[in-house]
Amino acid sequence: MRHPASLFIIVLIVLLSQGCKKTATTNDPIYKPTPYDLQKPEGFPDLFIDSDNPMTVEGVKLGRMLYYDSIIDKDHSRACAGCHSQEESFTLSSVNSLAHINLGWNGVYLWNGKIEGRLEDIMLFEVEEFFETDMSKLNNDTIYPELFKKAFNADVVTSKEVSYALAQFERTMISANSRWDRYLRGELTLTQAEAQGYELFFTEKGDCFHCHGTILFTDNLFHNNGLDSLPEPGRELISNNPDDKGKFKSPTLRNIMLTAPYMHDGRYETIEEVIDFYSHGVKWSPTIDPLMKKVGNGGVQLTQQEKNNLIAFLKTLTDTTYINNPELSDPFAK
Amino acid sequence: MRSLLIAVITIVFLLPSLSSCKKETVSKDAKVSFSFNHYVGGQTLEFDTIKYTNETGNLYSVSTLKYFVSDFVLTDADGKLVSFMGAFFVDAKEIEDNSFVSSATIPAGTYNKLSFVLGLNEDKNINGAFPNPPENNMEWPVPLGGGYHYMKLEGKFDSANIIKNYQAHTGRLMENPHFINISISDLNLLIEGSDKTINLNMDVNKWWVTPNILDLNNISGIMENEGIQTMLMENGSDIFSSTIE
Repeated sequence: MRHPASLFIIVLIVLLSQGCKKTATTNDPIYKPTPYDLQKPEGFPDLFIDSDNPMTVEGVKLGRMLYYDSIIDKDHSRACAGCHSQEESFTLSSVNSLAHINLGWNGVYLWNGKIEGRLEDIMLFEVEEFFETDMSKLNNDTIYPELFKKAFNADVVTSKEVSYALAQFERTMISANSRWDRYLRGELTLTQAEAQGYELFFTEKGDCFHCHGTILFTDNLFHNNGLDSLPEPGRELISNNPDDKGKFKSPTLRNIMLTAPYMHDGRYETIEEVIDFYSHGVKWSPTIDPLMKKVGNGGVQLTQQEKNNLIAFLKTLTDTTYINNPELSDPFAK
Repeated sequence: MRSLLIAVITIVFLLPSLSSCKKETVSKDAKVSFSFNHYVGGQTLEFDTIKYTNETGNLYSVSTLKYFVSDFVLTDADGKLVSFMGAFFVDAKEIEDNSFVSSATIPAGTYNKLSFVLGLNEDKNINGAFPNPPENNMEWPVPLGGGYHYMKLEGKFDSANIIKNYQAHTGRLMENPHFINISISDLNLLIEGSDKTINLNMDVNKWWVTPNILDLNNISGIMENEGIQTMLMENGSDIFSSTIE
């Protein structure tokens, strides 16, 4: 008699648990987001994407919407795109914001490196501290809750999901189709001026490459480039190390012709002014980078022809397909 | 009684095999770590302070010291070689990251000699071989021959009361490789079962002396200077000493 009773209880438990499962499936579907195939351009460093935020079609789409939507701002007055305009390579001249370009390969963010880590970390900072996003607005919105559900299976939207969606979209903001890239792929030849500018850039005569080298045209490190004899704190504000006074992150030179003004404080309006500075205006200070070799002469002493050639090369870094890429454009535009 | 007999027979048969297992598991092979440490004239390197004096009399500091090492070979008393052919990147500021463990165990024995390359030999010094940071920031420009800087040693020095910058950047200049063969012939590494660490200690001051006395006034913008590249290559051969832990 004991055996049939035990069997009955087991069958009952199995049936009950099946019943529970069915109810959950009907009312609370589990979404399986579609993997997003992010292609790394030839020669670029590896992209490290944490398994807790895999790239998905739904996540990228949601991130793009959030990037262009002022709903993420506490006062509903600003969106990411407000200071990062696509036509200016995702910067904005009036506020001298850092360009959003190939950020998936960054490990330090903002001019002084206030935030270090993954794109998710800088996006979390933007959501929580810059925009101070009101999560109730997103949770009570007519469209976003379903999109978060589909992208992250999130029943309640938190700053984590917002920053993760933004990070996914920003990883797709890849520029690798400039004239320079096409030259590297063997699709064209450089003009004489461009080729001579390239030689200047990548030799110690112009000596740009030590801070703006690699395929990314930045070392993602901090340098005091001799802007001032009494430099601002810069990186020192974050590290509390007096040896870091006046150091700022090297920005990428990709799309540099589209991202005026220049330097951390936007003091130079044109690329000509920047090259004049490196040629004749470098100033000594105790923390100046040892890479500033010709500081005793005020800079690298380029002739006008050399300056023209250097600018011709810098123009080859302009990627117009990036600033016209429809997949990066405002999804709300009519 | 029958059970007891079976047990005794079993033990008798198993004993030899148990003892042979014991013999097989006792191996005196071991792994070796290569740990890179940095000094100036016997003092542990302290960055960004102008306090060191070289043979010329330059009072100088070090702000950056990064380099590649590769192709480690241990030679035992019988002349047998054990090779580790990988390349490693050293950033002297990242003290915790400057130790590399051999991928395979080293056969037991006494090893008198260690050789390795400071830099990259021609097989490894190829554009794009190290696409990721921090190694990718060592790229050596294609117009100068391509590949990677072998070393970036940078800092400041006092030149007649004027503070100047120096940059000892070494690498392949066009067709001239300049990588440095380091050989330590008094290693005295005994492998007998426990893992060992070979401390490789660079004395920065030795870059500026023997056989060539170098004045830091001449160590700036030297990447295209074949004469200085050669002198640094010659001076670099004895910059490491070793201790065993």
